[in-house]
Amino acid sequence: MTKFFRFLSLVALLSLVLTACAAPAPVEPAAEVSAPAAVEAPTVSAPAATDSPPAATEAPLVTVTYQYPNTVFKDVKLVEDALNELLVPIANAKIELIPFDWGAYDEKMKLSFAAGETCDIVFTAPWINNYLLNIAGGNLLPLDKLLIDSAPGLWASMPETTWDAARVDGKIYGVINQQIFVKPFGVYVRKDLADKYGLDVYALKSYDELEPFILSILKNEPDVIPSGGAGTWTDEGVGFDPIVGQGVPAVVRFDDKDITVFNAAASPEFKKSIERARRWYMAGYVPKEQMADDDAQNAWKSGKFAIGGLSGVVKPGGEIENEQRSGQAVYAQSVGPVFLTTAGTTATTNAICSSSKNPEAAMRILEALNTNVEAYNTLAKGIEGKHWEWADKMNKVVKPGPNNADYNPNTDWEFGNQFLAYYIDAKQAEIKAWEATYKLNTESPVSVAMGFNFNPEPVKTELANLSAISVELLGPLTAGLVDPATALPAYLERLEQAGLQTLIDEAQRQLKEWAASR
Amino acid sequence: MTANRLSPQAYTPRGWFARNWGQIALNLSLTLLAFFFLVPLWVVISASFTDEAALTKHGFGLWPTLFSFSAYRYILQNPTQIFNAFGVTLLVTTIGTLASLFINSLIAYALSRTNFTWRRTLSFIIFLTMLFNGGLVPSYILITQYLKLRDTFAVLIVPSLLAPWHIFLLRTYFSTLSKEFIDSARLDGANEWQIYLRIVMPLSTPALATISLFTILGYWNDWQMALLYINDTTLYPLQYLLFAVLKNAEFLTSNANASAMLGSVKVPLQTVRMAMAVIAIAPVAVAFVSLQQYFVRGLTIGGIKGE
Repeated sequence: MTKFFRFLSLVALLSLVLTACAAPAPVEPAAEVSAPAAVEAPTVSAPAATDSPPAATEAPLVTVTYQYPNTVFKDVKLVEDALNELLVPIANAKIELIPFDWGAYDEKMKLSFAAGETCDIVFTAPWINNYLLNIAGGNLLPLDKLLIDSAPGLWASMPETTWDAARVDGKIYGVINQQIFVKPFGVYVRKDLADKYGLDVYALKSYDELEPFILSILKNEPDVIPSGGAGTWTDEGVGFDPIVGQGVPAVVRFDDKDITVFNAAASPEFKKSIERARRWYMAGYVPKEQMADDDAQNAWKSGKFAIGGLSGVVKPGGEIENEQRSGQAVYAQSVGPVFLTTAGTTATTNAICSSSKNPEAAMRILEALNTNVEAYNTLAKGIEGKHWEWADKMNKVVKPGPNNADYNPNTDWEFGNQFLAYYIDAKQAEIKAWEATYKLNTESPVSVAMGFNFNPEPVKTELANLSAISVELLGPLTAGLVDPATALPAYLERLEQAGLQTLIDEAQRQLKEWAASR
Repeated sequence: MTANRLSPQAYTPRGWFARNWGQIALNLSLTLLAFFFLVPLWVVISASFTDEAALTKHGFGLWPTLFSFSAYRYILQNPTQIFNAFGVTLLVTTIGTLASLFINSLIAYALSRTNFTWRRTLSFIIFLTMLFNGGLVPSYILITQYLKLRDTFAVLIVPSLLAPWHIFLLRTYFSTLSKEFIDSARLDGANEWQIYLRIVMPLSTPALATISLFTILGYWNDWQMALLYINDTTLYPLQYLLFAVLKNAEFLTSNANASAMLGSVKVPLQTVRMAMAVIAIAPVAVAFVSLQQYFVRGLTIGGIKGE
């Protein structure tokens, strides 16, 4: 008896010790990995499968690996074979697709780089397999020369200013996948109600101009709540470029030639936005209770709101997309300036590893995926007749095929130039959504900080604290749930205590340095 | 005296309470404690059977506000994969636990024998690995480049076969066993293997049951090995499959580009998470209940033989 209890208490004690030891373990390696210790030893085994025998052909056919996050679909190998049939004649190289689950990709790439494994093409972005950290770790190859030599079509497909966004210390490390780069925030208004009450949505210049319309809805449409929400705040919506990241209020005005970094939360624009939100909330323009996303969606679908998302992205084809998803015909109009930022432009890129043995072949494949419609769509949508079928071949519209579930990545923007993608909706094709988006990308003004990439390392603690505070307080403030008179000073004070000024100073220093180097 | 003890007064509720209040208080507090542990579990189960919209609207509760199987239907959309993963986990847990128990107890037994010359050195070496380890990157290099275990069944078992703390637990338990058992067994002509298998092992059931429960839990819940080393979907263990399905679904709903493409497909995210937890817990709960009997039996064995 006693022996057993003694044993049990020993077990309990040891398991305490053990959990105490074990708990921090997963954290530590992550920090360890981000410091690129093993870069100088990239020549360990695991060769990039070179399937060419040392034959007498002048340019041997090499296989290039492509590692990217996705769902690991059953038919990846079939798609790979189909893709290779297309790639060999145009790129003189084969591709090996290596998808990783979304949740595993970051970890696996970190380890793989740290262990000095070779790789060829990898997906990298600010939000997964971090682009800047990879560059700092020496994991990626500068692509400037390769782009000009091996991928002329790709190089020419985007203006110089766009390529600038991918530059770090003057060199391009990533091939930007074209998709919507700008963030035109604005409103979606129900078409029938706008027509009925004479609101010219396309002429809107400010959210305030919605008020007469809202008042007539309030008066004449008892079953309709004027707006789904009162929050209109976005950094970009008032022309602020969030250079240190979304949700942290250290910004620079997109057209400010003096590149002054400042606290967005202390700006008159912010004050105006949250005061309006409060007014709308108190006046009953919006639902009294915060709604869960799902419920808000359902309410919008069933016609409960006259105005949909106040700060949604209004992109070409957005009206159609909305009508298709919710059954509500709408007018959509962006309110406020539209401009290009580094973050928006580099959101999705593919890069070549510095350990790659065949960088030229890898670049030729990237060229194909960014310029060849068939190759790109094979990777993005699968095999014709199997994973997709033509709905309207003339206008390049497709629909799911019989085996769609076996290959259906749904991530056009991941694999190359999204503007090559077949449309999945006839109406998108009608308005030529891709051409319109391309036009928006190229014709929008460029932020003064375009191409600047903030290095968070020196102010990591401040950054973590500040985003935690914003997550906690920013939502209620911008939605009008709390009184700005008391809540705004409290928010500003919390930001101050968490070291916002330190962050702003650091961002300012880096930005000035970057500007001087250009 | 005798009459007093048998007097009916002792059997009035009052007397009964008076004599057993300690027991009652203990039972009550333990029941309360058990209740605290069980309620969250019940909430998870209830949430897994709730309709997604109802859950976001009304929040979690002890009873589903709107009964629905949609979460389980979503998970079981692709039953071959989930059954396959179940099989992998079951196999990993069984083989892993048996092998781990065998190896750990062998080392522990050797360490518990005072006539083993190298016991201090060996103990120190094992102890050292508890304090220091090579870290993630070196072990990754070892496993993928030297042992070539990537995408193999073995990688799910081998790296966690040896557990220093289990070895020390067992060693401590083994050394509390009377030396007379071993001596008398030897006198009867048993060799070392026979002593280990026939005498020491059966005497150590409670220790072994406890350790095996830890090991089972460890193997059953492990998804890290698969995250790092497995890329072949047919080798996904259950926990990792659940993790991957969840992450992929979360990604598709959180990403504006992707969700625009998804159109009408709705992923019941919160309830799916709960349903996954239920699916993953159930077998372990069963294992625990069956092993609990061993605890009890082990307890009596220890009581008789240990005196």
